[in-house]
Amino acid sequence: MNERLYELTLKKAANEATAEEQAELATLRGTPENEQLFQQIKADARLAGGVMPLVNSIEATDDEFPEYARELLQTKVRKVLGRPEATRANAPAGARVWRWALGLGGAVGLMVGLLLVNPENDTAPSSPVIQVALLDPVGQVRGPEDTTLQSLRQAWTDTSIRQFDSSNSLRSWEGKWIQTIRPQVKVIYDKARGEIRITARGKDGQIDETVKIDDDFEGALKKVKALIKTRFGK
Amino acid sequence: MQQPDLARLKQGDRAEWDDAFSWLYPTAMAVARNKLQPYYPGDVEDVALEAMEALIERVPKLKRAEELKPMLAAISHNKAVDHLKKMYGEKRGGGRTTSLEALTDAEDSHYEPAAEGTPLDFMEQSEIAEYIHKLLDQLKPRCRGILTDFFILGLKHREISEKQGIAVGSVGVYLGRCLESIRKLAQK
Repeated sequence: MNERLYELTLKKAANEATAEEQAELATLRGTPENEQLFQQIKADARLAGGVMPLVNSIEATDDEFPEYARELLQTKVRKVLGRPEATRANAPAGARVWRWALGLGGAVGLMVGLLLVNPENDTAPSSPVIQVALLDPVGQVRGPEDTTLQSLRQAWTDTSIRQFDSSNSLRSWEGKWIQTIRPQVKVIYDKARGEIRITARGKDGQIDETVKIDDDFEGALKKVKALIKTRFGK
Repeated sequence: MQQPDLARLKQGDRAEWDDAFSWLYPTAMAVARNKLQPYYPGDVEDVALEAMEALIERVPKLKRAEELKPMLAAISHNKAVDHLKKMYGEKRGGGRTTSLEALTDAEDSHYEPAAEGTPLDFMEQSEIAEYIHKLLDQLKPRCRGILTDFFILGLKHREISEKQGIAVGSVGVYLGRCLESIRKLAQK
């Protein structure tokens, strides 16, 4: 291995090479053999630059799975893989009661089952899927002093906060709705305008409301939550 | 969080999948973010979730649980690349996808030739997944650390030397040897 050629090529790639080193590299590349090696090193560097993030991603743990996507993916699992029969014997008590209730037949049994399967599960058909985003083109919210993100996370603990720095990308996200029978609510904090927009889709059609912040962000968040609760009971 | 039980996943076990979603999601996000954050940060989550949906379809063919994350990383990578091509195609003339090389010619492109169009972009998903798996198994930890420092963290030779405890004059040597390993593992 031509160690000097490797060193100079990689230094040049990282903009670390001095003028003398660049001149040395140019000289070294003068032979066909070394020029071929130079191109090989560049190709290897591109490969490494591409694959190392994927290798490191295997150990990533930072991001929290967004609850709104759970049912969507479980539906996909059901369609592709079905559901196991074998879990009937091992099912937890709640699920056994659910199946017993179904055995009685009728809508009443099904309703009881839905309540018993997971009494703390907030994914009953009527509760809305809530997604939260913030639009901050200037990047103020993401500074160390700003507690806006923290407040948004505290207000909606089971959803991740999407962050946008341009209206175009926010608009693209805003226009996308997931396939679900549940109502869907999008809460958007527009920092530049000082307002929180609520866009919702449900069986009553589309709803659009705006809450002005007026120097009281926490108060505005409470109003937004109250509005959502009034409309959707959650 | 523990690695899920592949047999249960293949059976569609709801609880197992619930745990698997949380275990898998950070990998999909890390890959999607790496590709899309500089250009379309608002689309990172969507692409990550699309990748997870696509992984569900691949699960019946997997043999070991260890294959899950590498396969997901490969799918996420390809989805992110497709998304970039689509967004730039739309920007440039509506509905057409465009090659990554052509992106470098766009007047308002942020791309630099070295930053895009890696060999991975031309590999099949299963090839990428297998390659990631091989690297995880066979790439020495020292190599992984040095390659991460140089290519991901953008550390200078002197900084790598201090962090890894090697002579600054040896950083180039180590990098060269590690790049050779990366190449050889791709060729096997």
